[in-house]
Amino acid sequence: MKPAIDLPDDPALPGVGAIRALGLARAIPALGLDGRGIELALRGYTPGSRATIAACAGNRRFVVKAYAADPASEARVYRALAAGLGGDSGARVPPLLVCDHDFRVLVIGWLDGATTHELLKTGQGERAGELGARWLERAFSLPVPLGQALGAGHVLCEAGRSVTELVAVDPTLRAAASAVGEALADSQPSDGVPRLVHGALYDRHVLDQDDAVGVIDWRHFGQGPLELDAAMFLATVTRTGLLDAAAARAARAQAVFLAGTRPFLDGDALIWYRVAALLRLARRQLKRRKDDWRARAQVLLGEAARLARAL
Amino acid sequence: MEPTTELPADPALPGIEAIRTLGLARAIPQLEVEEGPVEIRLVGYTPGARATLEAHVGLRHLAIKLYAYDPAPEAELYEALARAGLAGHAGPRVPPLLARQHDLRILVIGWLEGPTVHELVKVGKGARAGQLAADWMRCAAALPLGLGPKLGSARVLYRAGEWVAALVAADPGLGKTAKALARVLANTQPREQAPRLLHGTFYARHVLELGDGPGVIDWERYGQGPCELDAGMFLATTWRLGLDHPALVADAARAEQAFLAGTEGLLDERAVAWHRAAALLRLASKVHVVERRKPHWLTRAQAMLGEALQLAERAGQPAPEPRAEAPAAAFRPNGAALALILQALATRPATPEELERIRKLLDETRHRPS
Repeated sequence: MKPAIDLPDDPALPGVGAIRALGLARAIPALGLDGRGIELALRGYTPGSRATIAACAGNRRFVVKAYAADPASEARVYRALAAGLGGDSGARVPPLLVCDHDFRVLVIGWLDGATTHELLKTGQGERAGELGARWLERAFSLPVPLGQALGAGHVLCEAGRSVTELVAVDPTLRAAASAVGEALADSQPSDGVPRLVHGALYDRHVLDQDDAVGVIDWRHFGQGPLELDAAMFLATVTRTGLLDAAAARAARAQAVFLAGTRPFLDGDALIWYRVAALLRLARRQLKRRKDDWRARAQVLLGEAARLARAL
Repeated sequence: MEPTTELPADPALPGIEAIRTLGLARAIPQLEVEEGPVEIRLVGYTPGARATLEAHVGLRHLAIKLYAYDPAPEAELYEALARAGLAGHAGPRVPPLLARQHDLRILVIGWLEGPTVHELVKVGKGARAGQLAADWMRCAAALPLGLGPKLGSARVLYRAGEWVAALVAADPGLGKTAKALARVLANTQPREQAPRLLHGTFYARHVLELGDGPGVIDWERYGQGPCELDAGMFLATTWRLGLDHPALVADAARAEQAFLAGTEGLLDERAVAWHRAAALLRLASKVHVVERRKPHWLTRAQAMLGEALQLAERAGQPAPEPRAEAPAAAFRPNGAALALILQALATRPATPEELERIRKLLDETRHRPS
């Protein structure tokens, strides 16, 4: 782990302010740290909203998640998942170690293992697909009725936003983005039985723990069709394949994933959600604005349009 | 916009360029304009998309609609409505299609004379305004026209995303409220009944008082969907009148009451609340056009979103009773074709001649593109 770096001075994040002022051990005494040899590394930061800090203290590793909003609901889902998965050795989520309401901080255990994104890049596409399918299969029977509704209606709203924001930045994307959005609006699937969904099941959020699949970053969880999670997993695999010259590995991952999930996913709904997920990933290119973001967005829109022909 | 005799230079609108350079008579020879006074005013204009001209040509009073895109679908609708008896001189009606210039993307339609229901509310005739809109709703609900794209709640949710994005860009506070509203709309999306012909932008200013019935203009965004969509837009624009002019609150409320009374049994109350909330979101999002902002645009948009949130939450409350089908009395006899069908089905066997005419009408409807 890299040495601790300066944490941002963000008044919206009281947890970060407390760690800056007091140090992690004193800010969150429930961790039982003695204050020595603690290394911190900022892993993610959205100003005014949240920060993710990786922490290492001796042989203990964990993640400190500091929020502007109360993270109580996220804490509840970690507890419910721990209870729901029980002693299941085949699927894991990070254990919740501390929920500090005053500082709006969650501390969760660190899950080791390569992400399925990394597996794809190192030529292990089949393993990536197998892990994704294994999680979905487990999620199919998880009795966790927590979180807001996340059905096709929400996805349609997001699709409208994605198109508008893409076109606002680059009007030349109008035809491609609008065609995808309108195809979605004309073919909304009916939502089946709602289940616990991760809400942002990117290939970076699924880990290979050798004997188990690990799933991290549950901030966007909710109740919806499993096709929503399956589609986002497949869309990020597709993205990795298209943008990182890993098409063959991505195809293997998809084939294994689809074979493993076919018994319990609706194929037509899955296509619809995949189109929506690719549109959403195209919009995400606006966030980082890499030099070639337009070309990347066009590639993703093109793939979405290709899939949309099956709607 | 304020009417003007100046025509804009807009290369996206070939019709306006032709009229500017050739004059009306040569640009649209079908009109058979003779030498003599021709008065033209620009009464509506969206740069790069469309323009509407009001023209006095001799004794004729016309609306000339100029588009950047092919207006053939709109022309087909006017023709279908005319075949259904709705482009005559009495009862509920729409403007008659008089000419179309395909290469220049021009439609010429008759000008319906009469105040808009928007204007009726402003002069204290709220109840009449609501009744006219309700009369149209009943007429439209009975029309067997399968023309136009799908315009259901799925499309509304998709557009809601666009409106949210516009509000986020306009003001962070409005954006936050709009996001919350969109979430409620997505959670309360109504189930839809059989689709019907919709106007698509059933604003209070698109319904006219023609003396013996309503006239409905501006059909560019027509389609197929639940009649609650048009009802929601009518009620949203009527409510907005009261918001913009506090002195009109009572008449706006009377218009709403008359509309709801006149459409009793036709509409699902919760679906109306949902579509009305979505319509208010749409109207609020218009603040993204900076140059069109009104002086108190921010508080005005906040008020619209606040009202919309309440309506959307009401839409999510448990259903009271199953929806009743529109009673046969909803039908207005100005649709000659429908009158014929209902008459034949009602009290006696149809004559062979009637059966043949019914068959032709049904075939015509079935083979029309949707």
